[in-house]
Amino acid sequence: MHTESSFNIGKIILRFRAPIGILLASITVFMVWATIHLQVGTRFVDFFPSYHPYTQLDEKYARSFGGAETLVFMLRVKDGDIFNPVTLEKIHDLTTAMDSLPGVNHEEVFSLGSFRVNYVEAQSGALISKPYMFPDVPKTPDGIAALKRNVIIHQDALRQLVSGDLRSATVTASFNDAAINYTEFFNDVEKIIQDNQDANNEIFVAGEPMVRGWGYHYLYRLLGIILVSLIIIVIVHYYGIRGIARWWAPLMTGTCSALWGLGFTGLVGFQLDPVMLVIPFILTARDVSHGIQWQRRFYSQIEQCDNDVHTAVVNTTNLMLPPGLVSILADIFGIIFVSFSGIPVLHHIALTGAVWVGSSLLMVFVFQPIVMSYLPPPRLEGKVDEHLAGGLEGAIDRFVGRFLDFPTRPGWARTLLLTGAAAFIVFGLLSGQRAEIGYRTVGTPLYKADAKVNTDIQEIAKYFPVDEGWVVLETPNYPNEQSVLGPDPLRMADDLRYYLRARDPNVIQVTSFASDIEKPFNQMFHYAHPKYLRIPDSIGLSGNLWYLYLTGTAPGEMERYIPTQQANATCIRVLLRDHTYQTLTRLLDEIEAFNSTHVNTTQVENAPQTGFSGILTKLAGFFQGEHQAPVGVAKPGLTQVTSRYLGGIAGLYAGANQVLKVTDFFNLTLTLIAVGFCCAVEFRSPFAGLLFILASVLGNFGAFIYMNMRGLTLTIDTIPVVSLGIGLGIDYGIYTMAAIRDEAIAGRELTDAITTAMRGTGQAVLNTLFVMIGGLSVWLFSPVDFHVRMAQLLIFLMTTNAITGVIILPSFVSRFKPRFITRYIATEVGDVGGGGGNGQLRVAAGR
Amino acid sequence: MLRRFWVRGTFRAFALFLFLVSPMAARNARADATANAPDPAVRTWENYFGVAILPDGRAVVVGDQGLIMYSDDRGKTWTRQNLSKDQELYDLYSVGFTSDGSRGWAVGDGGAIYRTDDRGKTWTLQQSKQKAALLKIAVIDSNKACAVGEHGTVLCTDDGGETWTASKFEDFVFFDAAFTDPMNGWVVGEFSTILHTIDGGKTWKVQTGAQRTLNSDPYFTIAFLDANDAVVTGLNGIDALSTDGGKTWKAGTIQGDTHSAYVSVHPASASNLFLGGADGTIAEYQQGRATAVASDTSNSITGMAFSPQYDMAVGMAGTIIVSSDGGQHWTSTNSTPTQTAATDAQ
Repeated sequence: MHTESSFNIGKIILRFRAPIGILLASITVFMVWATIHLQVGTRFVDFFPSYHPYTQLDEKYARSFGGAETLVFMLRVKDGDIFNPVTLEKIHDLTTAMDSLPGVNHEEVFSLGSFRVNYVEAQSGALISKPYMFPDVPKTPDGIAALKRNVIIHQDALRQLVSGDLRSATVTASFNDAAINYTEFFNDVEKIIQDNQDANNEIFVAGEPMVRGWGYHYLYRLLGIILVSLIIIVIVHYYGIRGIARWWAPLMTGTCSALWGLGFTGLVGFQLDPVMLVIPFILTARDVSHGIQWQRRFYSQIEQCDNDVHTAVVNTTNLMLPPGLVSILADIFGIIFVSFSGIPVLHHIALTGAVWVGSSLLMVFVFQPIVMSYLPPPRLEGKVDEHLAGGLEGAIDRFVGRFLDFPTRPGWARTLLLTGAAAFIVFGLLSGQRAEIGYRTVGTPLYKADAKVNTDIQEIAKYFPVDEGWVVLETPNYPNEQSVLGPDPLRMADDLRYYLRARDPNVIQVTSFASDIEKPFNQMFHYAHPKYLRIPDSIGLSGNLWYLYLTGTAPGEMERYIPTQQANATCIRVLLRDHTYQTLTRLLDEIEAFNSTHVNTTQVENAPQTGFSGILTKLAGFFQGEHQAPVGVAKPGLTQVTSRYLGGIAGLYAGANQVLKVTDFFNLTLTLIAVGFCCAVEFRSPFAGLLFILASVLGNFGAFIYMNMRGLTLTIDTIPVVSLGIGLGIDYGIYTMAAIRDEAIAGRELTDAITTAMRGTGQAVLNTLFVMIGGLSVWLFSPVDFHVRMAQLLIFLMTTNAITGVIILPSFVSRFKPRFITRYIATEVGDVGGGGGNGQLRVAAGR
Repeated sequence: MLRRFWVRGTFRAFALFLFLVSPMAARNARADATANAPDPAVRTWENYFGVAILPDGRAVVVGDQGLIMYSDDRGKTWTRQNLSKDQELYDLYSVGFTSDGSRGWAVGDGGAIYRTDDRGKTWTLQQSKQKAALLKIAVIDSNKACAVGEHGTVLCTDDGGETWTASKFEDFVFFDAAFTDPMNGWVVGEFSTILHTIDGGKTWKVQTGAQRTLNSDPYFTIAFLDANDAVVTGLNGIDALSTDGGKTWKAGTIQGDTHSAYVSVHPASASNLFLGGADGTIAEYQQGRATAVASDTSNSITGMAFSPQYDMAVGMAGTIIVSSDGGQHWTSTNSTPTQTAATDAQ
């Protein structure tokens, strides 16, 4: 491939340059049209694994039990408590305003002022269901005092709506995310806050719609950051090669690749989440880097070929395409494997990224040569190296010059470097084992801890649960004794409440039809005597209480507990302080332990059993340790009851955690195997494959060290960026090693080949590194903390990979003389590495 | 040969690498589900239904989910009993001890009866042969006790609980029972019913009520002030008084409070009576009038006990309050009910 005798791809491309060029240009124009139709948007459910039983459970019951997209207003008074006319009026107004927001589920709006929030009063011969503060807000001191007393009496039942210190009240609602325009939604919520906040009444807001809404709020600032970072890339690149003729070519191909990537995204109907905009930027910067590598080699070929553009293009393509192909394949493998997670947003990123990076193969190594071939030879003012000596590349050259002989000079420094690299590999692997999955703080890691979105969530979490998980009991139809109205299933639901609250400080409340409706109604039915606050002892009485409740409540109210008229399913809501990894894992373990003494089923039985999704889920269960879980033996009255968990927002996050754990493992392993395979083929040596795997580990597992140090965890948001880093970083090593090999093939002895390769490719690598860092550094000023951390992480990764590629790999080659390089050198015999092949013959047949 | 060696070596190295990588997916395996169990000052999800104070000052409290716990420091710390030995954890609604504290019983839902002979440290399940909830136990001496509950159930034993003899009165619910001596006892319940026994619980006769009429509200409590004066209270403050040792009853004479009372207790050293009931009300009954005292809670009071050293009342949503002045003022214990280690029941 890289010799004249090999398959001459450069010549073939130029032979058909007109049709190929027209085809690629036409597709690019079409992609411009498709890009125009690209939508910036967010579908909440896309962030969670669609095949996972938790997600499926949530989807099955979301319409009845309420969507996971919940918004919470918390009104907190600074002086006194909420029982004053002004604050009570504001609770009422906030309830009305919440009910008017677009996309709101009107049956899921709750507050002290909602007609859906009731208490039951026993009077002689009757049970009366009354709202606390509907339709009117009490205005007289006596009326307010009566309300306060009533709230205190029912304080545990109102745990979600009034804080224990009586100074905070919430208004909550769930939303249908398909109906939300997040920009308008954000502005509407902000207006509601402004309209109702005053000196004594502070309003905080939390919920997934708001977290997403902040991304849209920052959209124009983020687009500005993209623009500035692109400008910086242009400037760094332009200054880097001192405006040498055709300097714009890499930018052109980078733009075309971006159009392909964005156009594909628009064509297949994927949406671009504002917070994820950093990923398209990284891909664009990477495309430009490939283009720079190609262009830099083109200039040197132009010089060597005496301004013969055709030959220079052919040679450059033949030289650059093999390592470029391997690099781009590594890029693609780095991102494509996250597609298997089953998480739609990762699937979209993987497909889009693969097309995007793949298109750069066509753009940089096919379209760019074709464009160059049609243009007259660039007028170079003197020697390219001399011209560049005054610019950034000159500075890089002088910088690289200091280290040129480092890899080839035996001594303690090189030994120390290689030993240190080996130690770093081990340390990186250990850090990889410690990398945490999921969220570990209250609030969202997308934004800074002191950002408004997080301080609000933290403030609300002090007094109220902000997340909920569902345990769903599926049973035979009523009036079967084991239906959800049977005494035993009801008792199980109530027992779970007690079990969790007695054990888990993260569980703030557990609500169910059994605990919240049947028991209080049974009590009220029996003269409100406290000793009747218990599960009815017969299904007949239970059914009567069910009917009593059904006839006295608003439409849709019953569905929150029992979604069907057959009474064959019921929801037990576990209200949580947060959705951190520890909280969710602990909850799952507790539910599993509880179920094992009550019903037959276990968590794993809920999972899909077939296909890749089934394998992933089983593996997720395996890695979670579920293989050790005992299979529960059902109690006699629960033999037909199935307990399914975990739905709700907590279930979605828990499912994502489990999948990400497996995805992370698969992604890393498959990417490294793919890198190893590609490099083994490119360098025709299995040992080369292994060496590049280790180089990938060296260059990228530092990410885990960095993440541990900075408190970053692997989440849906971070995993694509970490994956991209692995694929993108190894390019440097591939380009450098290919250059050493090419220099060896060209007849240089090993030390000379390394030095020459470092001077040429090392320069280009560092040049592209500066382009990447220049662009990424602008993201350090993003209002989105996720961008800042990812930019830091990528700068770190690019730097460690550049050091690996430019210094450590050449040092290894010089010290251990692997045969996949030395076989091309007639005067030396390698002492490390296999690979076979007749190097002497190849050299003879080569240049 | 050399090549095969390198190929093998490469694959072995690769296998070693995968071995190193693979544990990554096993990290964060499991949180310890039992670590850091909560120990809140008030367990608002937990309800307490009965309390007794032994002569040595030990307080024993029963509550939902089979809860039995005792405190030797006036409710500051508690030792919880674990009744989970393959038994259904029924709510326990009442606890009673002999006057010397040597024997006690706790009764509850599902006909559950537990007995203790070591001042509440260990408890033994007894066979009531009933499924009906037992709402109150009246302990007469170490051999005799009567428990009452729903579905017209009145259970009595005269052999320390080895056997329980059941009497049934239609499907009425009986909420309370009281004895003035081993032979004379009263039971109160639904439809303003008062039953009386003169043979230690073997036979019962209806004194009032027992008619299924809409305006017959239930009686919840009965207590004797002395050999002649007795007070019965019920739903929304209804009452009946007796001044002839329980032979006859006169309804609707107490003035003052209209809350439902769920417990009434006559402190041995006092001439008055204390009522605990809905919305945290505690009232002192004296000479035909009930006067509310500060209870420091809005949760319903379900059990009260008085002793020479201190008094204690328990109720819904984790309520435990104590008084040191004969029931005139009550304050929350801010207790930590889970602090000490649990011991198993037998």
